[in-house]
Formats: sequence, structure tokens, C-alpha cells
Amino acid sequence: MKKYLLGIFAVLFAIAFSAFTEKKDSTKNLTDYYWFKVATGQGSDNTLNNSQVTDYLGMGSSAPAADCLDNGSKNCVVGFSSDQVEEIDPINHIYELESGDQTVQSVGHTRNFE
Amino acid sequence: MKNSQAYRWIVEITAALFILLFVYTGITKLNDRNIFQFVISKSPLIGNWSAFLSWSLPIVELITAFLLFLPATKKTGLWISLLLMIAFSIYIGYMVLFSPHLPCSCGGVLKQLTWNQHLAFNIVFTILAVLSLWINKRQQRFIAINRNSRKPA
Repeated sequence: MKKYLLGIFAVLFAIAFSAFTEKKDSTKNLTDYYWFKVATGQGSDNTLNNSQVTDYLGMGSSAPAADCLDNGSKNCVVGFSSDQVEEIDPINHIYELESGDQTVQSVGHTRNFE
Repeated sequence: MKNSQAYRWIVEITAALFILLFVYTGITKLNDRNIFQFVISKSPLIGNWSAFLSWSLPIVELITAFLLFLPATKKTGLWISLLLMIAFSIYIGYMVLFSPHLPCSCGGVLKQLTWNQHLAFNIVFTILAVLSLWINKRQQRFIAINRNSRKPA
């Protein structure tokens, strides 16, 4: 039994930790954003359309890691709410912005260049 | 003797850390499988295998954790852990060099790490796996030498 003790603790801790991070995420479902990378030259705009964002990065309450140094005041990764995006690929869950200009709801990461 | 015990603890703690890592990331990847598959599909290197990898990777991680748990298969588990860490490190190295703008396809809180932080994390675990396998081999050689040198009464 002693041989298995460390392994048992590791498994229990991993399960508890994963349950805790899952639970934490689910309580913030109302403020989940759809995160997009801002195209070069658009870092100052607070309203963006599809041609001004590059990659869809995912959905969540906080922005995923991206190639942004977070060292400036220009937008690098921004989030939009569910009514501002439309799903263009239901199988892979890929989204793009609804037509027209959409107001940025949350700034995930910044950069120091436009 | 004391050294031998210390070495044994290093192997046990390394195995426990890998169990913790693989069970945690395996469960979170399976829970968020659609998102995991989507992120992998954006990768230029493995994007074409996103459907297969989104299932197989977490399952391999959980099986490896099970192998590490049992004393009889711990060595096999360590070898698989080492191979997984090397494969992940190569993938992360590629992403750092060629596609740093894409998000990490890591499970759970690990996705909050930057690519460079994640690479460092993987290298540390790779070193732990190598160290544990080396210690394990050394211990087995020590036991074999002692067994062979025993003379009958």
C-alpha cells in the first residue's frame, strides 16, 4: 500500500485541481468572450470589423496566450460578446465577427506598436 | 544505503509529478476536446491530424499515468513519459520559431503559459525523466552485482 501512496495522492490532487479549474470557468460563463488577434495597424481602434482582425483564438473568460508582449497601450488581443460573432464552422467551432463594426468588449493583451 | 534511498525517492517523486501532470492535462483535454481539436487544427505542423490527436493524446497521457502508478510498469511509464516530453518539446520549439502567434494547445492552466515558459517547463520534466531512468538503471545494476557476488554458505 505504501508503494501506491504517492501515486494515489498525485491522482487525487490532479482530479481535484482539474475539477476546480473547470468549476471556476463555468461560473464565469456569462462573461465569456470570443477572442481575436488584432491586425497590424488597428491597435488603437475600439470598433473593429472582420478585415481588421486576423485569427480567432478561442472562447473563454480570459484571453488565451498570444504573441503579445503586454508592454504598451495598443490592442493586441480583444474580446467580443456572443451577439457580436457568428459561427462559420460549427464542426470546428470557428467564429468571425458579425458584419459591420463591432465594439471591443474586453482587451486581453496589448502591444506597444500600432 | 542512504544514497540508494535518496535515489529511490527521486524516482518516486518524478513518477508522482508525471502522474499529476498527465492526469490533470488528460482530463482537461478530454473535457474541452472540441476547443483542443480546434486549436490543434490551426497548427501548420499537425493540423491535419487534429481529430485523431484530440482523442489519442489525452488517452495516451492517462494510460502513461496508469503505467507510472504500478511499480511493475513504472519503468515503461517513465520511458513513455520521456518520449512524450521530447515530442511535446519539439512541437513547442517549432511553434516558438514558426507560429508564436497561435495559442497553446495545452490542457488546463498550462495554456496560460507563453510558448517560451512552456518550453522551459517541458525541458525540466524531460530532464527529470532522464534522471529517473538513469537512477533506475543504476539501481538495477547495483542489485544485479550484489546478487551475483553472493557466495553460498
